[in-house]
Amino acid sequence: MYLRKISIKNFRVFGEKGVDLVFHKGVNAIIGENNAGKSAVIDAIRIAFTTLTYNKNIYFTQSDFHVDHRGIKAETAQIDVYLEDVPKELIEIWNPEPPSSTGEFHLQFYSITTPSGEDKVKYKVWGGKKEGNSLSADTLEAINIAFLGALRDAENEMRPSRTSQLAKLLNTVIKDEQVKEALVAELQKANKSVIDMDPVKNISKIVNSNLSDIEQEVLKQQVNIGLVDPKFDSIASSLKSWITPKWCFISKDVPKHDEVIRLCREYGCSKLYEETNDGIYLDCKSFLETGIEVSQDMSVFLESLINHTFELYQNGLGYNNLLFMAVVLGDMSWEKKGVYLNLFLIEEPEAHLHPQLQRLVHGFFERKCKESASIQAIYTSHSPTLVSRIGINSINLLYEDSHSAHCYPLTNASLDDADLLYLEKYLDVTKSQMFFAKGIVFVEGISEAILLPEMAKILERPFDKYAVEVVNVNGTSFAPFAKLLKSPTGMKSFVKAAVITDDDRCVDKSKSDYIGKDIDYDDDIAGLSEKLEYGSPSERYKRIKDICAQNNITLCGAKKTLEYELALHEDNISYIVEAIKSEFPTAGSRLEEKIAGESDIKNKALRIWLFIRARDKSKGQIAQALCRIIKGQNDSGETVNKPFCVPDYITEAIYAVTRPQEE
Amino acid sequence: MTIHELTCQQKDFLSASGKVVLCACPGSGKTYVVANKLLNYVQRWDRPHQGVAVLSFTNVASQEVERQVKEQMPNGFEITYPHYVGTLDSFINRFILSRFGHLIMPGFQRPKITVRYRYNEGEFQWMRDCHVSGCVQNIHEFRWGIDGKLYGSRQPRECKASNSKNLPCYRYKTLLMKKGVVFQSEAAALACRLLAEFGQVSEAIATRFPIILLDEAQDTSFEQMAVIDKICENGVESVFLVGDPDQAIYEWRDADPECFVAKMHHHEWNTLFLTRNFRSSQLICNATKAFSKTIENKSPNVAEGEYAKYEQKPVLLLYDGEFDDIRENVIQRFLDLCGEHKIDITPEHVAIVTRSRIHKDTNIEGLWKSNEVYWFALATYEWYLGSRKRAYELCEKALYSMCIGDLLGISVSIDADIELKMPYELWRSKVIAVLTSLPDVTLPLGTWVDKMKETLSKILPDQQLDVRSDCTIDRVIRIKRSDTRVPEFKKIPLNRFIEKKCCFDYTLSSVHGIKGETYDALLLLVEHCSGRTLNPKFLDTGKLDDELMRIAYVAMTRPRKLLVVAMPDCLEEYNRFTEENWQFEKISGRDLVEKV
Repeated sequence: MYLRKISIKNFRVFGEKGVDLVFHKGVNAIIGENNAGKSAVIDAIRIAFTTLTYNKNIYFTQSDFHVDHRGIKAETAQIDVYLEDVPKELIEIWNPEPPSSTGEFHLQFYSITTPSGEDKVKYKVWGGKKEGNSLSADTLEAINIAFLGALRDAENEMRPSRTSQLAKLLNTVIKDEQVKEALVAELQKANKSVIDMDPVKNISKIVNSNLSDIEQEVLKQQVNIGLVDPKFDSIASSLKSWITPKWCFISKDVPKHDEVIRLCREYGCSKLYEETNDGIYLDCKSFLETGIEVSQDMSVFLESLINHTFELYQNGLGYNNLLFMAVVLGDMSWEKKGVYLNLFLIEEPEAHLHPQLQRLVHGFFERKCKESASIQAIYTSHSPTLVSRIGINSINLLYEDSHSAHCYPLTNASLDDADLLYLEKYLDVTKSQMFFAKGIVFVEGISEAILLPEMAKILERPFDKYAVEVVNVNGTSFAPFAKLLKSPTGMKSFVKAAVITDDDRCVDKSKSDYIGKDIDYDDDIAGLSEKLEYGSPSERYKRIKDICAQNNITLCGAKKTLEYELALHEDNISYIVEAIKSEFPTAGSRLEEKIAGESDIKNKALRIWLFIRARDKSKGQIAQALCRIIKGQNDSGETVNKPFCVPDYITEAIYAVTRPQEE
Repeated sequence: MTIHELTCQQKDFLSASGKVVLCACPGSGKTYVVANKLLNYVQRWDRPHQGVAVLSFTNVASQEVERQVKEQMPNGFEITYPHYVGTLDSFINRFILSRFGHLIMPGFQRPKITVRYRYNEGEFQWMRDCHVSGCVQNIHEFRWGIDGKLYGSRQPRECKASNSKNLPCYRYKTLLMKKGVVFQSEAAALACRLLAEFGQVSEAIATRFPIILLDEAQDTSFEQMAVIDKICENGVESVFLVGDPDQAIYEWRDADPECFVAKMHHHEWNTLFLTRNFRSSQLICNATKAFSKTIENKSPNVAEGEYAKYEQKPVLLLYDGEFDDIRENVIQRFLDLCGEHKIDITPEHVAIVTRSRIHKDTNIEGLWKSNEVYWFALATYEWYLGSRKRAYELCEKALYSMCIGDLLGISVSIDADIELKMPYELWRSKVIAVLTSLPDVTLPLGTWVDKMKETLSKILPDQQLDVRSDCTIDRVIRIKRSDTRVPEFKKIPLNRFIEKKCCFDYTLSSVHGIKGETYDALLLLVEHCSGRTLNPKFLDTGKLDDELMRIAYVAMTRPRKLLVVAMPDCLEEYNRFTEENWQFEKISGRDLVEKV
């Protein structure tokens, strides 16, 4: 069984229209900017699954009702839960409608005022489609839920207690009463031997003699001193985990130091230690496992090293989080009778974990979910690293638009398999940042990617401030990205988006406006500028134009190319030439001379374009050089004599993605 | 009943599985074995979301199963999820019709299952049409059958009008279906249609309850049995039908013992018998045998209980003259007999039963003119003489219906809907204000009605409860104006109209009220010499598979030691009341008892 969809209405940031989130088997992510409602979704799921059950640590409270922009509090809030692969015996939630494998239940919260004037939250629940049908806590026992919050206290969760995760795991693993009894018997034995030790006996004596002194023969009771109560619960609640470091330090001053090195060398295991100035780090465990014969003395010494361990509070936060996840997933992997869904909710698993570890954690989740059909993980994340790892279909994107919270399940985007394949391949960490942005500019190459942020500064629309992300598509496959931005329901896109691309006119050999590929900057260019001026954009460009129009994306096409457009401004020419010269001192100077001989700005631009076209591989370097020049202007803080001019189509794109909402 | 050692017959049943019918004679420890069978399953049950359904015909019967189970288990033991103990009606309502009924409703709404329905003006017109043409007394008596046709009582309804779809009853019932209103009397038929049309629902029920134990199965209606059959077809592991066709006395509630008998004879069903009687003496078993259809051609049931050898033949008390004149003498003679047998005269040990109502002239057709007045009457009775909790529920229902809204409009629970209007605590105080002002239950009916109106007219405004426009006090608090048979009925105290069973020194009850009970001594009063009710001729020669005969049989099989049947002395010779099995006594006038 797995959670397929949850609809949330009038709960915290979500208003009357509400949001729908769609999930898949396995690992799912909820992403979005801060305050977009990620935690609200997680809490809604927790409330939905635990309101009826006895074991809960979250309640729906008065402050959970949505308050709209006029300050009016909603009267009812509703959470609808839709499940898939529901077994028939869960008759309260199972849906008979084909395919007869879905299920659903619903919760509605409302507020009443008691005669004493106190506001109270009440709720209704019903299983199946029709309000009025019963839903019992017993049915919901089929769903096991674990939660690791953002402000989490993994250390606390791992601390020994009756309700600790380790205690839970032990209870799950041991079902056989005899095994439990055997454990308890061992504890009793230990208890007995501790009690029989003289110091403990002494304590007992002291306490009892004082007691009888106080009581003066009134109660005549005896007190025993010992370890914990010899019950299974005591074992479960005293379990703890600690970290054994792999490398143990042996100081030079310790006599065993030299002997260890000698033994390692002798037996050819020099990889088991690392020398430092003060001593060595030894992989003790592996050393002992090699079977090298060591003296009793040595053996005791090494064991003592291994047993020198870290308490949980000595671990890093990150490591305790990993430990918690390992224990919870361990518990979930263990098949439990009558539990059909193990739902693990984690807020920001990336917290305290470095990116490589994030990837490993994600991989671990995916493996665990694959191994057991009943495990489903849902996490919220701000991490492009995690997002880039997860399937597009498993992402729910929360965003704010027109002052209300929305959700866009990416699975609703009209992407075909090829689109998905492409996106999953190319949605790397950098591109995944687009999901956290308010505006996106898609560009086709490195030059645009480098120059755009600086040009935005010139227009006083710095991308940082407007949370705009530049996504370099490295080519012209804009279509899958464009489709991703718009759901088939015709909902408004979650971001403002623009595509900047070259219209690549004059490349069709069959047409009269074709410009040959072998023409360089110093060739005869008579008639070419007319061709460029009146040439028709390429077919590819026209297709992108259609897609953008369909998907509500601003398309900004360069007449021919970025470089040509940049060079069409008289003030820019010198800067561009300067940038070129930094890469091509000789040819650059010749280009400069050629340009000096031209009077028409179009021809000047034409020569610059031809120059760069023939030296395509250096485009990036030239762009970087130009970027430095513009940056110099931007950062100088003074009025520049000849400010760099931003081409109109770029201006249009930048304005499109940085437009404040009211415009 | 305590049975220390199980008989072979009982053991056979406990180890049986598959499709099993258990025909259990009176006093055979039927409920005890059902409870044991249930415990057998429950104790080794390891399926968390599948369970055993133990279904009975009445709440009393299913509570008895639960009580027996608890008796055998440590304190605090409860039969809970995934198992279900309840009535067959509640099972069908809860797990089938309410849960999945929307699949067959015209507007796909959740069916609202009700006993009665308030007519609005338009519908009332139709009812009159039907009434005039003589189809049924009340339009709510029409019910859908499994075949999609309308039925009146037991027969398919026929009408002179040519196009059946245009008949008022059809139009009325179709309209109710569109509103999502379903009567309890047709719930099983609709559930059956639902299961037939949606195999996956049958499968789901069979998966959820792979074991079904149906107690009092002889009281199952044709439609209810069809529901059980549908679930059986879809993969139930075991079904146990436990009952006694001789004790089917609920035909007025559509019980059809033939369904049970048919199963007994069906080759797919394994039929087992319990023929040992742990309740009555052998002499009672011998005497009552003549009134049983099941053992018509067999020997009497074998008494095996503590009183098996009790040596008192059942007494046939024949009286002269009008019953009303001699009633007290008959009862006194019976109590004397109890004394002779050292039987404590307490309601637990001694019972006097009648065929029908225990109070004379209280069976007035169409007495209550609205649900609300009926609920207030019941609430009054419960408040003064019964359970205050039930009184509260009834009063709440009546007040809700008068002041808040149609009970059929309740989507979830009455509490939840009240909370939408006012805090429940406030509502509770209002209901209690009405309860504490209810007129006395011993007032003559007519006076009670007047006082009730007076009370409500004062209390409702006091409590700021506004009456809905079509529920004014005068419209709602109404009873029948006159009755030709009992012109003076309004002078009879209210409690007599409601009492089904009352306890003086002994229990006085109708036969239905003592079903399943055991007494040391029991007197069956036969009040009439002729007519379509219990009379001497019928008892002596009537058909054994007649419900009236079964009612007599149920009564006669209750006592452990002493059975007395009192009837008018109007027969020349006796067929079933043989001198071998019965001790004859005649009684005429005060203090005149003469042994024959």
